[in-house]
Amino acid sequence: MSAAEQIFGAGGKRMRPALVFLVSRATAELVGLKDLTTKHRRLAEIIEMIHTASLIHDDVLDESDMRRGKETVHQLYGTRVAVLAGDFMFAQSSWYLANLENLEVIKLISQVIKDFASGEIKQASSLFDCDVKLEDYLLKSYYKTASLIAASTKGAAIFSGADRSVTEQMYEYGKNLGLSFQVVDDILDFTQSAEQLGKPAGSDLAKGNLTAPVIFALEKETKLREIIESEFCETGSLDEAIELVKQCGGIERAQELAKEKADIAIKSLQCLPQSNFRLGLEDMVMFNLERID
Amino acid sequence: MSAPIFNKLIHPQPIHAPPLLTPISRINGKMKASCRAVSTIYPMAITTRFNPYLITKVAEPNAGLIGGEDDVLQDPNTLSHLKAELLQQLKGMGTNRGIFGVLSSKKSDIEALVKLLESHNPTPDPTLNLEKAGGWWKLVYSTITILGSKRTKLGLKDFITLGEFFQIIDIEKSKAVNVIKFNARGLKLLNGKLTIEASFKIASKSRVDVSHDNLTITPDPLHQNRSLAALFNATKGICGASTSAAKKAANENLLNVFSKNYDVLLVIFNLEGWLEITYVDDKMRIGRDDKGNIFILERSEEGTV
Repeated sequence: MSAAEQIFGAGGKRMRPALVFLVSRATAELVGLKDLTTKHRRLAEIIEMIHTASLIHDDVLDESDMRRGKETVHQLYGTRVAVLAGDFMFAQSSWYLANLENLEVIKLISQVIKDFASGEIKQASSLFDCDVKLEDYLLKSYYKTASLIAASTKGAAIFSGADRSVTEQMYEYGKNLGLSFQVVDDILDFTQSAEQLGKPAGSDLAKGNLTAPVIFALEKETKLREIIESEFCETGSLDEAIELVKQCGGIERAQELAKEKADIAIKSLQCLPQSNFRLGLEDMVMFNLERID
Repeated sequence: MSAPIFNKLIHPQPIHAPPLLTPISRINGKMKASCRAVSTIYPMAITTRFNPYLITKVAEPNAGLIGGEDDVLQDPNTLSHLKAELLQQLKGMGTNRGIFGVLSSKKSDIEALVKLLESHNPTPDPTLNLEKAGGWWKLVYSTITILGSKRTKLGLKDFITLGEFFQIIDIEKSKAVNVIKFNARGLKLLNGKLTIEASFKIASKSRVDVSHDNLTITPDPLHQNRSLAALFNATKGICGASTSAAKKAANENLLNVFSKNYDVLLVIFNLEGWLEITYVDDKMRIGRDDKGNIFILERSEEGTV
């Protein structure tokens, strides 16, 4: 329990529950719903629990010390507790999910947990693979990040009682926001300093996880491929690689990709009536992009 | 007993630092064609890291030097000192054996030591004394690397751990069998080995031509029977899987990782070409192949693979 308090207490952006509430209210207008239902609230809790559980496990896999400015669960309590805490949260969220008794939402969210695993495996099996395509990267990013966000936004719309076309649009909104979010994260890994990131820059690259900026840069620069294939065993080669990525315009092209996905997300909101909540959803997209301006 | 001391000039080579050092070598009176001896000279890197008083003549192996029966061509202390240095450098790498990448500065150090050792080769014509190269050997270092996507694809990043590399030379049959043991990390059940068979033909006093015969991957039968049987007997009741079917599935899973990348393996462990035996004594053997690779092996006891 105190392990759970450690990570929930550390805060975090709580972006996902916010999305659930915004979509709930924005779609509620369509069907004349006045207020958030308990189901909406429960959905938000479930989503945040699943997200947090995945973070705890990720930190174990990445051997990270810090999360949200505080020590990670496994750093304080050890790996066993961290694994158990993550499992506990996945299990609890499954139970609450089942009790919502909505088969469509149950399937939606269960799919996400399956996708998390697929994403990790996909990533692990393509480390240092310079032939990785942009589609593979986007699929992996979908499994790891966008899938949960898309399920949250669609789930919220379902509980509002919105019709199929609206719920599908909300899914598209969540998916593209998620992809845009992941691309921005991957850009920041290159552009932010170690202090800002809370960990050394280029840590994705160092592990062999080739993200959007690298994939774009590899199209131009063969030297980069050699350095990556050598797994950076030479001192200074990681820094050289980061420089090469920047020089080849990898960052700029990744920024375009993030904007592209953001635009699709905003377009998906058109089925919603104009309201502060819809604006809030648009702002989420813009807020994400501002991180790389 | 004093021996004639020859001073020879060494041509400086562009790589490595000090170009010129006055060589001294102790040679017994039987040396012939001493002029021929310096036709091809290896450069030498002597740095203060090694014993600065180690100055030796560097010459092409088999350059007309006749191995004296008792009178050693080289100071035995020098030899053991060099070998100790080399093994010390190699020890620092853990079980890596150079496969997962070595800092280029370390690589040069090792190469320099190797060259020094090669200049003191007590068996300059190894193919005439093949029994020295025969039997069981263990690889301690090579310049062959498995990095990047190749490493990930072969599961060597997370899943599979490599064990010992054995090389068994059969002089009668002119065959070499290379065995690399591996196991699936954490799953002690799944052990296996990669076997690469090759044949060789003597091409010169120090060189053999090698041809690739076969590359096979096998799960370890001994281990499989015991552990897997135990595990799957326990779960037989639950999932109804018979021991042999489950064993088969486990075998396939393990083999899948490697066999899917059969081609990758064939490229990495391509022995086709020639191998120059540049140093061999009772405990150590060094070879260089036509692709510029260096192999350092240590004598091993006979075992079972």
